Amino acid sequence: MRMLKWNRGLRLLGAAVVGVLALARVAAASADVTTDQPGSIIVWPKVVWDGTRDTIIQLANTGNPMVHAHCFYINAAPASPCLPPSSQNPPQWLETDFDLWLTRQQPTHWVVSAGRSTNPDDSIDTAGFDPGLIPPVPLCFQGELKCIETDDSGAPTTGNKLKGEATLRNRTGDVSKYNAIAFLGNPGLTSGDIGTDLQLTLTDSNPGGEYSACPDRLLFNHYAYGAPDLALAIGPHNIGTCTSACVGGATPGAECISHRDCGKDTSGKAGICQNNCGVNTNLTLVPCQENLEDQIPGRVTVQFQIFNEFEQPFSASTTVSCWLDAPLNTLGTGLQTPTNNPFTFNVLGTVGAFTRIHPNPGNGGVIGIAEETRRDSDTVGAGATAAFNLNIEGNRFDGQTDEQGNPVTDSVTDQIILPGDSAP
Amino acid sequence: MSTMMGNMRRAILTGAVSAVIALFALGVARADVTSDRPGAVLIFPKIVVDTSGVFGPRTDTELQLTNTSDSVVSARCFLVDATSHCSNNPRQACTPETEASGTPRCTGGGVCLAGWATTDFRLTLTKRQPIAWKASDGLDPFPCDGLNDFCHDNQSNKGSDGSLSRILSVQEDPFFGEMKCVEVDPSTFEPTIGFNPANNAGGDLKAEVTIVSKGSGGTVDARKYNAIALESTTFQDGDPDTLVVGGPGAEYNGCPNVLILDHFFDGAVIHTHGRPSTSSASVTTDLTVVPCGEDLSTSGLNSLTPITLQFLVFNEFEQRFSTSTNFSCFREIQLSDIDTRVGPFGNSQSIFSVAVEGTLSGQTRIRSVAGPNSGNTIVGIAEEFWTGAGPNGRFTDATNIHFTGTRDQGDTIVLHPDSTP
Repeated sequence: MRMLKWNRGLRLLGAAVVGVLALARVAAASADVTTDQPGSIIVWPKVVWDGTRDTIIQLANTGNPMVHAHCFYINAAPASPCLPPSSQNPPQWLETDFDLWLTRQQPTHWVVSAGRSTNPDDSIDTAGFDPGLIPPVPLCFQGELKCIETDDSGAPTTGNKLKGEATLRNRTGDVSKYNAIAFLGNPGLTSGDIGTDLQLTLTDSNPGGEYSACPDRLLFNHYAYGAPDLALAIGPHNIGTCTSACVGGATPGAECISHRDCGKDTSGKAGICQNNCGVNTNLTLVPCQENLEDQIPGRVTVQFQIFNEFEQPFSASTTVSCWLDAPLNTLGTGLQTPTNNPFTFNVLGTVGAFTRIHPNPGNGGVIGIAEETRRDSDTVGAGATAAFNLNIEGNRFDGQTDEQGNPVTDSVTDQIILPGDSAP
Repeated sequence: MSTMMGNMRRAILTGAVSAVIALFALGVARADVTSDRPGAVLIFPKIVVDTSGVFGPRTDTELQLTNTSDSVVSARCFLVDATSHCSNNPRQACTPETEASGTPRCTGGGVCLAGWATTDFRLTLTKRQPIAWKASDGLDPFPCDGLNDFCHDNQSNKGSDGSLSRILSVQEDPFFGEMKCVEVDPSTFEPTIGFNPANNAGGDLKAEVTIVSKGSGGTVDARKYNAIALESTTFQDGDPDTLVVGGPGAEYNGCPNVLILDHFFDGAVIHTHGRPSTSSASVTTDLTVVPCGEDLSTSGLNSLTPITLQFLVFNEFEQRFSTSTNFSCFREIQLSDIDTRVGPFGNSQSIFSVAVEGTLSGQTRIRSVAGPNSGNTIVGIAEEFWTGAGPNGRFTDATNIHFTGTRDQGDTIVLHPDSTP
């Protein structure tokens, strides 16, 4: 009897050790969502083919065993896809999926407007081991791409071997690139442990979770919408032709980078800093939670806490339903016009700004990217875009904490529910 | 007796489990660098200024830096000038690429010599404060200089000792180089762990870099990357001027063991927009790497240890190639110049050339060779140059490079003693 108890105790110890070892493998490199490392769920939040912009996807197996992936295009274009969304033309949520497989260390790529065929007589465009038949997206596609690492039976697995990038290319030739966002899987789990409902519950404090929990907050450095571009407009070494100058105030016509630079005129009226080459930023957000089985898109209301260079706080909010891609000056405008939106240079008054994006209590999390567009006063065409990844802080599963680390909201569990037949 | 034995067993088991958990709790200290979380050391691998267009389109670099915490933080920053100059004309900037071209910058028998010089400055940011500046101008005065302007709640960018914050402009124009910023205590200006518990006190600074160019005909081009952050551990060894990055006694997370770069092979022609000839572009990629560890207290290349980089290249047929190169403090190089002469000569024979590889995309694993006493780790970014048939010519983008693993050996960043009043 004693021996039985001792053996049971040893088994418990063994299980704990194995569990902790498995968790430590994850924890040693942090369990957070990442854009730096390979993962098991890869999300490209912004994929576009609208006739003007096309997207090139890169995906690679960073490991030595062959990996399989089940990928989902999620088309958030409106019902009449090439027309602007409106109440009469609501956004759709159409999912198309496909499988691919990559041999040891194999990279692959495709242009979303063309897809990638499995022609054995490849031209140089598609030379290489065919990763599988990748369908083209329809014209006016706008949405996300999500790839989930699977085993050879199609069941989700957690090898953390996939990485990706996306390049958005304008017909003018302009390019803009970002890293896909990776959710790490818990390597201690087997595909049988996961099923088709992928729980985003893996955190440093919950190392038994399945996949990285969604970030609690997104940290977003950006230029105030319409702020003068520093390189093109400001200073004795500016490389552009545009100008940023005070209108009114104490020094009308003087170069400025904030409204404060312009001071007040003799009647006490403050001057305004105006330019003809503003930097504009687009924000793309997608909910972490998605139900691909029942075709229910995620819906998250997010709060924006905006700080200018004078540490002055501003706020706004909006709801992300399926997919949000919007210029900053249209976010949370409500009754405001885009010119007095809190993201604008007109309101913020300084070039630099910092925004914390956090979902409302009880809501799931969001991930995203941003794209800046610059133009000079003599620029013809769309201007120059540059995409970048957002920073993250905390996670939704552990819940929101205050500055002292004390919990202020309950934990939220995001999950991605796959179609049942995706794991036969 | 049996109860006593049972208690003892439970105690042993509990103790053993606790020990295992405690052991790995130490390991939970994040062992990686990051470009998507704030940190206590920021590395900006590439800053370029060429406002006169000596080496191509007129170019400047915009930098954004933010204190993400709810506390006042300070930083000491080190701007590293890695611009090369002609041996017979130290005021004439050059690059290996210009010297390999038909119109070299160094004439009269001069050769292009690599340079390395550091300058430092310090700054204080109020809570949540973002700032933005361009490298050719620096930032002086700060938005809330504490003399004429104040932030929210009468806060300012003055240091606790009354010193003004300022960011120096780059040392010269043209300029090629990097910058490292270290979060320091706003009272003592000595390196500190982060203040924000929401990110495990790993550091409070985040930053982005945008390289902006203006070509002829009004063409604007921009590429952007996130600064690379090293998160602080909870350990500090008491030496404020030597930062231990990774390895035993790490004060900051170690830099990666291997960088993983997905790229198009140089010369790959990408067709988009349904393949009209006007929507095709030829792509080349530049890699920029800097060492994680660095002695910022001295200037001059003689003080630097060369680092060897090993490259493993895979094409879409899983075919494997390898090559190597070395560098000392800052290296920007087109991929197909890694294993051939710098410049266009021989590029089509490079293992990074699409003509050799036969597929458009590849994956390259970059591993620096560890030294006897240091990890010799590196970080970097990649830039793509898309040359199309359209009227607007060349466009660029930049990305942070993925990575994997850490090293047992650490690196050190040696700071110049803080002399700024």
